[in-house]
Amino acid sequence: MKARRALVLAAAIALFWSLLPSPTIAQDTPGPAGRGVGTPGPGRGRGARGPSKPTPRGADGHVILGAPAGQTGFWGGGGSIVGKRGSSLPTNPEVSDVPFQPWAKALYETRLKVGDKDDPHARCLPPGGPRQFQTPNGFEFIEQPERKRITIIFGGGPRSWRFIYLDGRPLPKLDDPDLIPTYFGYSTGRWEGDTLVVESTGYNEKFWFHRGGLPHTDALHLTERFSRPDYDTLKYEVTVDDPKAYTKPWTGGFTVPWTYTNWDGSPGGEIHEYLCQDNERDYSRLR
Amino acid sequence: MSAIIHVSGSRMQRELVKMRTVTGMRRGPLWSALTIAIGMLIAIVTLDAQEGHPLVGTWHGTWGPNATERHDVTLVLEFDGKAITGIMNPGLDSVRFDRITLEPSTWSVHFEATPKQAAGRAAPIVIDARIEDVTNRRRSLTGTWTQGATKGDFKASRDD
Repeated sequence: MKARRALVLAAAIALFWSLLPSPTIAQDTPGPAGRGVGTPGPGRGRGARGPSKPTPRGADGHVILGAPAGQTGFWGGGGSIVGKRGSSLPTNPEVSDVPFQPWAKALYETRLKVGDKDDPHARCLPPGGPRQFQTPNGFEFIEQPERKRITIIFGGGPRSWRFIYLDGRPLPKLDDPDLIPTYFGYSTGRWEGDTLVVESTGYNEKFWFHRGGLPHTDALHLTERFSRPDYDTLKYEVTVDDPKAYTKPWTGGFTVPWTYTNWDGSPGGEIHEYLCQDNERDYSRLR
Repeated sequence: MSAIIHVSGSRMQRELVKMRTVTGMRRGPLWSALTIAIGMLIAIVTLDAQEGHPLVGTWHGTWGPNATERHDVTLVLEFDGKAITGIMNPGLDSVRFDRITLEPSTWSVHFEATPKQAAGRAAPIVIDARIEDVTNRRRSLTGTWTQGATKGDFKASRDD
């Protein structure tokens, strides 16, 4: 009898817990915005719900990576650039195929073993590289043709943003003594057909560029390819070139779903206000 | 200031040598003060959290034969993708390491250096240490320090 009561109580607690809104304390815990991902919206649907709408395009025919005029929505969180699970690309390398330098392999394995306690993102530092698209609470592309740049704003982490310049400016040289390395690096982009190709360099070493802690150094050079095969899907592919951490360049990626709803599942598709620092509760316990 | 902050230790050393050559400055109080100040600056400006190669950065610590006789030591280490290089105690009497090797499977580090003294070469320094808490931005190096017949323990922390 007691055992049955305990079972019922446990089931009730589990059910209650599952119905609670997602916690917002951990930066890598899927946040509320993730709940809207895949929720049917206007024109939304896959499989039994019907096909996605076609890729949106501007008047000049270029692919729109954000919400078209008069519409809302944003991109949810992405998968991993290693392994083939979930939304990761089937062409991804497995971890065992990543061409680590010996120190980088050992450090990555140690980080996996230790867990995320030393992850700078757990202290609300910005995540550069692919990590920025793995963070819960979504992201949005804002085209600014008058300034020849695309701004990406992030709903998760410390609520940061990134510029991709389309004005043909060169990337900074890594041996430039005046270069100030940054979390998001310096990015220049160009369109190759329907794909936005972005080259970035000038990263600092204060963050993990991928969830789990794939190591990188200040020599990191990323080539990112953004495409939108249909309205509801962003395909992200990145080539990692960091000769100090990897013996040769390697490529991985994932897809990201379009989000039509607000964080609470209501129609809208707006990134809500979320600040990592406001919800961070671990710092006092981290040394 | 922000531009200065990212000047690496080795570059600072090169600039120091160049300045000394150009100005013809000889060792003296002014020169000593300048080098000490720049040495301190090197130690301070490289205090960035560093998540890349676990040895890169500035390490502060002590070594000595016992708990009461301790010697301060500062290491500034770099990695170019192939070799780990670095200097000890940046400043007038800095010593460049002859060899630094890392064994990632155990996080063991081996340092060799040959200090120069006015009267000739001093006994080589050999440090054998292990990186503790390698994923932490405030990781540390602990091990042994051997210089000629003198042996002691060594401990240094990487500041963030």
